[in-house]
Amino acid sequence: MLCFLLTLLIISSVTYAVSFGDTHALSQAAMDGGSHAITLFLTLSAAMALWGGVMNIAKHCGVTQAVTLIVKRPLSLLFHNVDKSVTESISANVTANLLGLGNAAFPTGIAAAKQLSRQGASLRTKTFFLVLNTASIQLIPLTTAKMRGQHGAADIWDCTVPTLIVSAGALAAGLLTAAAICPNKRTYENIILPKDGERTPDGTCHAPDTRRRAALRTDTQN
Amino acid sequence: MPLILAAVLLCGLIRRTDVVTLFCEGAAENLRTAVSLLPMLILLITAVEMFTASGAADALSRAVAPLAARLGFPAECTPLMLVRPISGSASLAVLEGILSKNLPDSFAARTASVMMGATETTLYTIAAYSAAVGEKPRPQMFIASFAADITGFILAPLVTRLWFA
Repeated sequence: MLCFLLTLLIISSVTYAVSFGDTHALSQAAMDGGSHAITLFLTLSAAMALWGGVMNIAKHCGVTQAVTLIVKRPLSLLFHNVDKSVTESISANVTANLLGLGNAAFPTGIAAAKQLSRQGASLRTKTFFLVLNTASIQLIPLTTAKMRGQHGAADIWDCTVPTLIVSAGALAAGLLTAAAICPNKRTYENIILPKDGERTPDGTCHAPDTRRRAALRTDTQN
Repeated sequence: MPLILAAVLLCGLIRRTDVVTLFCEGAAENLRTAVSLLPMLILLITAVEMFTASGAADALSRAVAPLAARLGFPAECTPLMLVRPISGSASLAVLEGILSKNLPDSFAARTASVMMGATETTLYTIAAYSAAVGEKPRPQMFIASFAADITGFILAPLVTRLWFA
């Protein structure tokens, strides 16, 4: 996807510059792009390093654990039908996302996603979790603030509140859509099937054997 | 930001942790991440700057301007909207371009900053999680994630306009 996008960008700019535009400006841009990237890298890496250092202290003195405890309650409302251990992992992942800990967010997220999958969580639960990760819920937009500062913004934090409002709106839209379109039924991929007449842990499936097998097949294929 | 710094350091001291070593560990880890991003960033920023310098970016903005104006969406932010779900580094490069072409306190630059902060690299995230768990992503997951992104893109100019009015 990215390879395609990059090639498209460069080919279209060369074509456009040759046919309508300024080829001199184009070759200048091709030469300068790298040094601008280094400037941006210096700006961002300083902020990232500072934040990483502070958050490592926060992790070891219990601040992140405190945030995890705070987010656990609203999260357990959203994920009321999963085990406690999964809620723990999800809380750790959400905390990392809130605090902008990119390095910690991914491994905790993977752990939580694996647990959800192993427990045969419903598609709705899985999608809720994914939306929490694809909608940015970072509390402090550090990267954009730093970049705005580099370009001489009067107040680099003035976009923080609008960003939070938009994030919340986007997250709500994602969760509502997930709730509307995803069936809240467990997926029977990795859990042991009950015998005829028995109920699955969530009490939904007690169809005869053949129908259940058919349901299982469609469920895993979709 | 300085408040957070002070509070965390104080908390670290009270808990008797080795604040300096811990800071250096965390900082080094993030520096390594930043360095690993650099090669990609060089390629992407070069591509985006070429796209801008050739005039193709302006042409694209002009092409979508009527539609964007109707939605109250700054045309300069269209490229950001297109690359944001695909790649974080690419959207950094595009945001950098928007910030250097427009004043950082202009409506377009503020909207771009809000868009950048309020959305994520959706496709990349879905792909990474699906690969790690070993399950195919379901269509519903894409729909829900894109619903969040689209809402973010629509809300960003609205909220920015109201907030800075």
